[in-house]
Amino acid sequence: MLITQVFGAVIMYIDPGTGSIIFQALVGGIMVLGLTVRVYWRKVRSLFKRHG
Amino acid sequence: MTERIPASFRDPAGFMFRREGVLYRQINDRHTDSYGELLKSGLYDELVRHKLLIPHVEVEVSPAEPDVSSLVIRPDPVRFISYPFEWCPGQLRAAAEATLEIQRLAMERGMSLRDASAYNIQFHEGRPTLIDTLSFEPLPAGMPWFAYGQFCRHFLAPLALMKYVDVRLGKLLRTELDGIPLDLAASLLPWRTRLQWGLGVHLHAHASSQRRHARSDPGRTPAKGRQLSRQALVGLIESLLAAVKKQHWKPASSAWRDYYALRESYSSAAMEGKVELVTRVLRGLPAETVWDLGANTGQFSRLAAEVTGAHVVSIEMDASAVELSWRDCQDAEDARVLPLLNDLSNPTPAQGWAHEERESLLDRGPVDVVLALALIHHLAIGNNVPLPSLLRWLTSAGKTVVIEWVPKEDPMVQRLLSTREDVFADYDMNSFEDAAKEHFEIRSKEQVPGSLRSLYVLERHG
Repeated sequence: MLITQVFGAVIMYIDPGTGSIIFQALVGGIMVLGLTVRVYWRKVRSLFKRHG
Repeated sequence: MTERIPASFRDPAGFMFRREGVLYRQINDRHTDSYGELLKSGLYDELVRHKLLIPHVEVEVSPAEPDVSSLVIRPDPVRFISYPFEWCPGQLRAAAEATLEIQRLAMERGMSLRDASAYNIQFHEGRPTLIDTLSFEPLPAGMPWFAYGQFCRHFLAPLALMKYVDVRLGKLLRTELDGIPLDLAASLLPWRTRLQWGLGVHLHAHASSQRRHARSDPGRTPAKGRQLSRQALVGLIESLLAAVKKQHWKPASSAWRDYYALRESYSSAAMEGKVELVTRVLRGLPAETVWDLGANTGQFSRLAAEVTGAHVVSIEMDASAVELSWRDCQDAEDARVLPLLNDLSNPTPAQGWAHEERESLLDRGPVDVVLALALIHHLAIGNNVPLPSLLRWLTSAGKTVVIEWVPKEDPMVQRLLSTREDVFADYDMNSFEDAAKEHFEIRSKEQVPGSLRSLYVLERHG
């Protein structure tokens, strides 16, 4: 399925580049993972602080 | 008469046109929904409030192409259109940060930038401002940022090359009008930049991914893999912003030394005399636009802005001087001076499709007053430009020219001649005046105090 079909409403007049789109999904995934780890790490730390 | 502006021919959403000297933007019917959303979402108001988007009004003017459009807007006019390869690193970085901030605010309101071209940013009232009102589109769930690759080419790649290799590599943007290809940037950058998170990811790994998928059939890659959660998109923009902020270029230490020496020299009696003379001369010249040619760190540009109230483009070929000038303007919140990088012996040519997409430096003139202080010897002796040719060139730059004649006996000219043979038999005051009289009337001539130099005011014939 072409990218223009997925996001049909959008007028795309620059070539986003397949490599850039796929890569961006990967980087975005890593960002979310990093954020999740940070949130949980904060939770774990606050748990220890409360008990300590 | 309606004249279509050749710079905006690519975009199917609309284009700029000029009618009776006023610039308008036609919004094509296919884009009216996105434009409506920009207003309805409150994004337009917010961006204008933050001075990130050019303000506009809707006008009752017939479109240039009424078959495809029924809406015309009139954006606030930008005083001078400048190009990314004419910016110092600090200006390019400010433009990059503005683009990311606009994208961040747009995403908060369910919209996104369709493109991230550095040419869409202009320095308006001293700040990097988006001039393309049609750059926004609604952001459906899962949609990636289509302009990600373009942002990296237009901003991140040149910033990294200027910081880690050589500031002169910013000039690559002059040949690569759609930004520096990432594989080229990656091959020029030192290996250690792979270890820097921002550059390692957004330039090096990004370039590899582009290479890997260059020949793949776009239809084959599953669309699902390309979807991006809103959180991931926010993370991507934040990561790009962190990468851009790290590309902080420092001018060479010699440039700083020159800068302070110059500042010191401004308090000397001779310089005080020159400042007083230039102030007096400029006071008698009504001007809305000024070009200060060979502006160095822009002291006289700021003086010209103060005295005349004009918008001053401060043109200098040395990136360090432009950078220091830009920082001074930012510190002083001086919106009337635009520091600009340009080598007058090879100024910006007309470029792009049909030589019409990007205007030459002269096409963006002429101005009311041209200031050419301590410049003539650099062009006539440093670059072998004959005086008649130089004076002829000045006629197309401005109507009135304030020019400092620097004689051969001047220490600065002696320094230029110390390493080469003096082949400039015609470089004298009489030849200069003869060449000037060909095109101008000499309105005044005064000795610059404490020097052998003279300050001329020339008025173009006709």
